[in-house]
Amino acid sequence: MKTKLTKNDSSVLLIGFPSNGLVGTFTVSYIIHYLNMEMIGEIEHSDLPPALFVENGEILPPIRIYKKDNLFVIISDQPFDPYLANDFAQSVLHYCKENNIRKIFMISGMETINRDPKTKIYGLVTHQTLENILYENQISKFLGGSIFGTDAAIINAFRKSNIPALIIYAECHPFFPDPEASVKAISTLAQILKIKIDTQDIEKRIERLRIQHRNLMEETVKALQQQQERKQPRAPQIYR
Amino acid sequence: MEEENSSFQSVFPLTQLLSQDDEETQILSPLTFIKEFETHWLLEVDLPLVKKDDITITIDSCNLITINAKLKEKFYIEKLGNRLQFQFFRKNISFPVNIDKNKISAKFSFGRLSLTIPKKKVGRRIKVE
Repeated sequence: MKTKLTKNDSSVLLIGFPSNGLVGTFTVSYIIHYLNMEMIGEIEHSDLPPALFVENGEILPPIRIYKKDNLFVIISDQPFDPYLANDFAQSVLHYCKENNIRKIFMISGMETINRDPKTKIYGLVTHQTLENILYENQISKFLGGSIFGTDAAIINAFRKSNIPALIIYAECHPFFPDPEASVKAISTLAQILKIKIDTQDIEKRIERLRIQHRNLMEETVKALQQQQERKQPRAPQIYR
Repeated sequence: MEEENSSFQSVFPLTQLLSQDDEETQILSPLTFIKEFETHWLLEVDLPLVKKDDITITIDSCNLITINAKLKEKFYIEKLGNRLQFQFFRKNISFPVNIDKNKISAKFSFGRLSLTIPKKKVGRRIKVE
């Protein structure tokens, strides 16, 4: 993957892409909208299906980079297959190094069937230096479970680097768009970043967002299934 | 009520129709999720913008379950400069023969419909000698 970038000395990156309940995409796109962030670049890959979105005459590539003050955001409107996930993670890491980004916050959904209407948030950190964020913001630590796909690719890339990552998981419905879960993720992020974000706009659009993003949800479920199939735990050789 | 405009839309991908959506009859196809358990099937249908009283569920002699729902507000999608209007959800799903039609139950909460479809107990116990 190639990154077209603008050099900056900023320090925090938020990242969201289609995953369970589309939580990451809803959350970061709302933050981009609310903070009126400026698009400063994009991530390209020759294996990405050729797709562009046009909105009010503006051409939007599927993986975009936004910035405002010391905050960067990378958002993807396209789910990744297992092969692209690692390339994407490496591109994000490369971008962080190039731009002197000190830490990243990734937002994703945690699969929960029959979930409580009160969304729970869990956090996972790659480096101990970010543990205090969990305690200060009363975020439960993600203690056990398996992670696969793009989430795992990002975590893997950053845990081996010197840039720490905090992964914020919001409980959500895995197969239906769940903007309600992202409202909780937005509030949690606002608390961590010590900024004020009014979630009224997304709250009043929750039902319509669920209809609007059926197609992206279908594509995401297919990609997640591909990722899961590839990551099925294998029995040790001796038992085959 | 018409869909309110919001600049929030501009950072999202454009709304796309599902291939099963029908512009002429103004029917949207809802997302569904089916899971098989040992004793039953679980069918979940995402029905945002719908009230419980506006949902009808039927099953025919071939075990085809049909879910119809009316939206409480019209939903619009822009497609190539045209504004398409939708007012309904519809989904047809076929189930195998061994379901117990009389014991199907349905629950609707937070815009999600859950149907529990019990399986009929068939077969007999085989004695081990």
